[in-house]
Amino acid sequence: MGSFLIRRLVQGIVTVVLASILVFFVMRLIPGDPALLLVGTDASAEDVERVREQLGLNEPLVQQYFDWLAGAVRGDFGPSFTKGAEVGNLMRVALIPSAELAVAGYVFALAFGIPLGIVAGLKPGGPGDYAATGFTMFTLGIPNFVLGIILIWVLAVLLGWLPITGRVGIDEDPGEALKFLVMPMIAVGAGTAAVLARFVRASIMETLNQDYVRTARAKGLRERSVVMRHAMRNALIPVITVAALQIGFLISGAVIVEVVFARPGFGSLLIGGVVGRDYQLIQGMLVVLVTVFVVVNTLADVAYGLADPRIRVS
Amino acid sequence: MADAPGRVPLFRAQSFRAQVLAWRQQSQWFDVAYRVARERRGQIALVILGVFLVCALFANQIAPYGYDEQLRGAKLLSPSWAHPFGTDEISRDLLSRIIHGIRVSLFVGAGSIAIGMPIGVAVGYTAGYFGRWTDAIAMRLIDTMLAFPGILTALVVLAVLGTGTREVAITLGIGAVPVFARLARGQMLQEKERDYVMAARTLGAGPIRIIMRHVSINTLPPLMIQAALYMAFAVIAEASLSFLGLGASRPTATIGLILNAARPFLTLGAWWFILTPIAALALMLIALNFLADAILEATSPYVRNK
Repeated sequence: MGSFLIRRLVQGIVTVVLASILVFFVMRLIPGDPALLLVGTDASAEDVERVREQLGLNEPLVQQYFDWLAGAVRGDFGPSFTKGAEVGNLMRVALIPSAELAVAGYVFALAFGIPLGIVAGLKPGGPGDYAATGFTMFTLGIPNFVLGIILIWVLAVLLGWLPITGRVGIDEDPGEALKFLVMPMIAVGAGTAAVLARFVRASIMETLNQDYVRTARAKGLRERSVVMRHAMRNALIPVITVAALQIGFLISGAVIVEVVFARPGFGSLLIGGVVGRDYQLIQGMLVVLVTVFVVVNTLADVAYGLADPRIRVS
Repeated sequence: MADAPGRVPLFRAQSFRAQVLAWRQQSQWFDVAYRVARERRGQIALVILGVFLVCALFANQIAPYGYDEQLRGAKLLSPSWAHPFGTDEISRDLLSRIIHGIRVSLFVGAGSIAIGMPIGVAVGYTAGYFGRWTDAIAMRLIDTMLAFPGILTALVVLAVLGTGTREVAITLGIGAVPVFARLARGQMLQEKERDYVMAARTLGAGPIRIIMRHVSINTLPPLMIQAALYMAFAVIAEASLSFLGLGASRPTATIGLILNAARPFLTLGAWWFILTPIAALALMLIALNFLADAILEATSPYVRNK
């Protein structure tokens, strides 16, 4: 287990470092002078030169990369070229609403998708199976941001149950915050829930065909304990990996859903960065997002290794 | 009456059937297409995509009005015979705009596949066939690109290229490269151990001939399925990006831009404004997913030959 852990950890670090190199150098292809962006077009040539010097833009690119990386590790991502603030501070402010939405969406996906898959898998062709298939079809045709618009229309405009857009902090008023969170949470989590439901269904159906399940039935165990103790445990192990891989897509989906619901967070910040071609902002945010994604996947692999000893060896 | 020698009779049921069978035996492409067309899901997909493709190719001829044509006194009209999908907030016919929007969606979808699939498959085949350091380098790069999930790759590339429909197509094409590369590599790793590859090699075939003539035929179905699925992803991504203002700019008609324009009018009860683009998008996505399912059914050895 020790060497497995170390191998996975090294792999994860290599991926993050390579991703940071990729983002850093690709971002340098953006045309335009960031120093000019920062001081404005009516500044004197000396001012521009002074800012270039300050930002280290006159250094060789490789030197710039290492300077930036050294800062990034300490949480200093340099100044944003368009927002008039440090990238690190902008991200800290945006982190809470985004994390709130991502976590809520993920919890929704797990709490809705896994039971749906289990019900469908235990009785293929039953009502639960039809519900799961219908739900999957729905999410295939309706991408997350469109689902967001539909939810706003039905739940907020037609029925008037929920506020249309915006956000209230959980620390300010938990009840009110939850009202604002319900629709974006469903919009973010529905796609993942469908993927999970489909996967859990297949996994359960496969497990129920295994010899040890037949043995358990043959020795006269009650159906409940066959399903709960023998089948379910083994069926849900591979779900860990799928569930973890979905987190990346959930986060990237949240970027758009946030904009639909006019919620502050990573989404509007990142899109503002892309529109303004603010590479300092984009590269900081993407490296953070990729790191989150890689950490989650590594943790999932480790959890998988813990749950299924066969994985550690290969 | 006997047919004249050397002529293939056109209208005789039996020989038409025989002809189809002969085509199926001669060409794997024809065989897969034939099987897809016999699946229920394949039929639905082919009909929807066929209609949409005609709309996309002949948008200017089919659409009753121009995509940016502002009509007199037709602001936010609900659906009628004159405007089956209603009109939008600045008096444009929505049916015409959606037809042009489908054109953009399919252009981006097909364009991204045309860019990403050949490059990705070439990289994957090469890495899988040669192994060792070629494989190690290619896989590190692919894994790094795949570390940017979903639409994030697109955001990085769009920041460099700037916004626009063509830029979105190129961006999503770049995003397709690691997806196809990883799949093609896996296929190659499986296939290159097979006896027929060994046989070809023994006969003196070089790597290019083995990859192009022998392996590629056998790895086509999974790649075709992936192409249909990636196209669905590209259609969603295009709609998302133009919704966010990172794709085509006004007054171009895209599904994303129509949705964005419709959003403020939800509270005014303009249901057609929001429902028609959603319906068009949903049909397109379901058709692409059905197509992927049908290709899988048509090519899976378990259900084949039934």
